[in-house]
Amino acid sequence: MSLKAVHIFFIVVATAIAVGFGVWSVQQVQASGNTGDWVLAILAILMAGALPIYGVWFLKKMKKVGYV
Amino acid sequence: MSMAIPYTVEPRPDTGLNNVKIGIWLFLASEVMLFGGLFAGYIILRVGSTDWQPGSAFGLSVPLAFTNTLVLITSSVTMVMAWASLIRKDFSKYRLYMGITVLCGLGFMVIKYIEYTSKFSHGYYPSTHIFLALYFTLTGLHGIHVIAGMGYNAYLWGPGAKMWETAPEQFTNRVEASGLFWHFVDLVWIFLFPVLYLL
Repeated sequence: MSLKAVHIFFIVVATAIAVGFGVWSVQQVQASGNTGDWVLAILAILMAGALPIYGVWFLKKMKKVGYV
Repeated sequence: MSMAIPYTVEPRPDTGLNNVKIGIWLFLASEVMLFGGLFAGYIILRVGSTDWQPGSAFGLSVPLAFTNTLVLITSSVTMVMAWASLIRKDFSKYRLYMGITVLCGLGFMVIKYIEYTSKFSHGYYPSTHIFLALYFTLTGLHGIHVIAGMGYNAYLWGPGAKMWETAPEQFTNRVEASGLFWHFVDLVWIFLFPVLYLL
């Protein structure tokens, strides 16, 4: 498996973590109303949105490189 | 008479891969078993503990850990960009991206140092509680891996980069192998972050 394939897998896992962390942060905000938790929640949601976009861009950029 | 090491660039006919890739994947398989055993230990000790405390009870900082997560994800992106630059024969871009990767590793360790010293200053040591024993074991071993990866990447950025002039394909394969190791290290952190800081 090439670095390209591993990187795609990594981006998928990182996106899942960003979504999970976003949900966790929103729950913290609801429980405490802390401003710091808001910042974390927004960052996590931004990350969850940006990573798949990057993943698609990366796949297009590395079209000629194989997965093995 | 010089004896060249075979299959450093071209794939072996029986495996379809060059020896660098076979070697790094065998090594990563052993690493998966090492960290897998420790994660299994974490689950067993947590389930069996009658006095379990989450990381927040010991003042573990979620914002710092999240910053470290962002730093490592960024370093994975720059690592793969460094490799892609070599494929495109753009050595100056490779130097730039690999340099950023090394700096990200350094940034991660600086944040880890801040976290560790904060714990020690509050009297929290591995012997204090089962959670802290697991925390220091898992993050300590992971930190050693970050240092090792950072060291090898720094070598590939500096003196090791001379190989680009004599054997560019072999050098590209070395960078790819280093990138595979770096992604493994980053993936371990992606799992450590929720396990130690959020759950």
